[in-house]
Amino acid sequence: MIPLAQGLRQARDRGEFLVVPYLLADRRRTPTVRHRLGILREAGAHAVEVGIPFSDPIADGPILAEAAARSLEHGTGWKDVLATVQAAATVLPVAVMSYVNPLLRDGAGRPLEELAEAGASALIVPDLAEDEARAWSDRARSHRIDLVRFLAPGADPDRARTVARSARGFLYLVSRYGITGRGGSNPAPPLKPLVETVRHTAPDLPILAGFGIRDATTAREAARLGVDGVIVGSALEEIWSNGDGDDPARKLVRALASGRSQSAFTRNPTRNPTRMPQ
Amino acid sequence: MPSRFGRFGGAYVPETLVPALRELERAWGSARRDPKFRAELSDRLRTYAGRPTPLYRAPRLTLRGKGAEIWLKREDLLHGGAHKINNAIGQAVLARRMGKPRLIAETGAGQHGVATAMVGAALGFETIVYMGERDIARQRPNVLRMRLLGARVVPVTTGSRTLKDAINAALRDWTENLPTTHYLIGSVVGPHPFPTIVAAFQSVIGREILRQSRAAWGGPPDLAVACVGGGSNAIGTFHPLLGQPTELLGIEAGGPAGHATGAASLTRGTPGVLHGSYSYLLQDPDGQVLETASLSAGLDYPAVGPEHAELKESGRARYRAVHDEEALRAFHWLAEDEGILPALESAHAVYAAVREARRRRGQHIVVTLSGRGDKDLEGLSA
Repeated sequence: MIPLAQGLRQARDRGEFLVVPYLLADRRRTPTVRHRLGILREAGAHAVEVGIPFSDPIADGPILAEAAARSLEHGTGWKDVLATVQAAATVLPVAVMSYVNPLLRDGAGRPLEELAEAGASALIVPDLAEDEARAWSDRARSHRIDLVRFLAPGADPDRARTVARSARGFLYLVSRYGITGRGGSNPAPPLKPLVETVRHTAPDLPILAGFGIRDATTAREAARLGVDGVIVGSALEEIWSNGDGDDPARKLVRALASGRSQSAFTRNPTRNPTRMPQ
Repeated sequence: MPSRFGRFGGAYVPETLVPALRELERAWGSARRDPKFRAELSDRLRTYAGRPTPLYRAPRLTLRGKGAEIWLKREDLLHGGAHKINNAIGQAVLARRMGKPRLIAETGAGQHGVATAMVGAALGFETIVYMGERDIARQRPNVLRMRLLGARVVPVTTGSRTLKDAINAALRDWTENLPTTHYLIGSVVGPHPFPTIVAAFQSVIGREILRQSRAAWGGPPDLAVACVGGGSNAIGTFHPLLGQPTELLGIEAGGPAGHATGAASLTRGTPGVLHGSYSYLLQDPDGQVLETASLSAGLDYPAVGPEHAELKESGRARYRAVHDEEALRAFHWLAEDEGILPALESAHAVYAAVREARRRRGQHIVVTLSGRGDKDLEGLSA
């Protein structure tokens, strides 16, 4: 499997709107990982974010928090996580999502090495803001894993530049004040200027929006910010945990993938086709 | 302002929270140097909370200890019945300075929730308190008090349904409502700058102890004892004594006798990250946080403030666990010997102090009695 960063850039440069679904590692689901992701790839997914369940997922709303609690009840452990990453990596490039604490086991080096061996090429750590992220980024890099950075509402342009400069793999734009799958009633300050600052600072860096992306409409709204694609978690998890089968999942990814083409998106960012990958 | 205590602390949070934490750090940085802020704080502590609290020589408890003189720092006499008001007043005044109309808080035993509800009412905030369902069941009187004080109490039904999960819920609420809301965290836990700010507001306890002990026997205590859940009354007691020759002893909840962990993260845990800081944590080999056990809801927390982790590693303070039955015995000692019903949390520290007294004849031990036991009566009489 090609590294996630490369896969995302190639698809974007082909003009595709990027879709990255989230799949929580769960011992009971390990046998179905390849099948599920095969469906999503066919529907237009470009990579997958494999989640490591954690007992205290402070950035997650009810749907993903409950899914994590169930997964832990099912007895999901580190071996199951590696098995899930391994299976996923046969289908799509893999970014692993983990809170900090599960990555500290046996000292911080070992888990990253094992995730890399299983096929992960990027790492998303929701409770690792930029200031704490630097040491982790170097550590991840030594295992050829890109540590993804976040940009969130309320950031100032300086923060956007700092994050853009240090981001690897892609930049994760948090599209509103809130947690996964659920937002508060406070409108976020305009995100478009932040996206533009990132573009200016790191022109080749893919930007994906997440948090609250659940259908064609929310994908279109994200596309209007000028991002390259979206990440979808809670909406997909809801389909899977309801046992709704392959069809709704396929439809969801298709709807998201069409996010840009159906929108009034006019400014197709010009790309230099001869640019070398970072 | 340093964000770490040795290798502990830091701010392990979603990027979304960063602007709010920076805003808080700036606001605190300017407030602490502002004479008007300090004057308002000390006035409210005096006229509303009831400071200073007495340092009481406990003669009959001393007899029971058969050694050192035992003195009680009477935080239980404060308005609301616990030390929590010291921090709640401070942060509420800070929140008003930042222009936030809404306060959220987590609570375990309910004492911090009550303190937040009181200052929320007194300073005119909308107040929401997150409380684990299990804690709601075992600390009913405090739930009623919070509601009467105008706070909305939101039951938390996830995870272990105790303090840990209430903090998760409060952090999620904060992330959703940053522009309008201040998270009035109740202990020296959470991401930087919370542990530093809460320690500063609670240090009034130790400053008074030092002043009062000098007046009472002409020197600092030989030993200071305080219970540790998140660790705010202990940090408040210890901070001003760090430069003194005083021994510092923190008492964690050992849970039922024979329980593997209780809620004793410093004595039985390993380093890890929970709720935004790197500290000691009760966790399994996969880094999943364990469910804790303690009869006292206020100590029933699987992590601890990062400064305690540093004090433990540097050896400046010692930490020990006292189990449920021992704490209960100390509750009855204090009731029968001195006519004081302590909170079950504080009873852990009383037990350790009496045990320490024996080998310390001629010394002075100060126990911080962090709260009163009214909230626990229902469970005790059942």
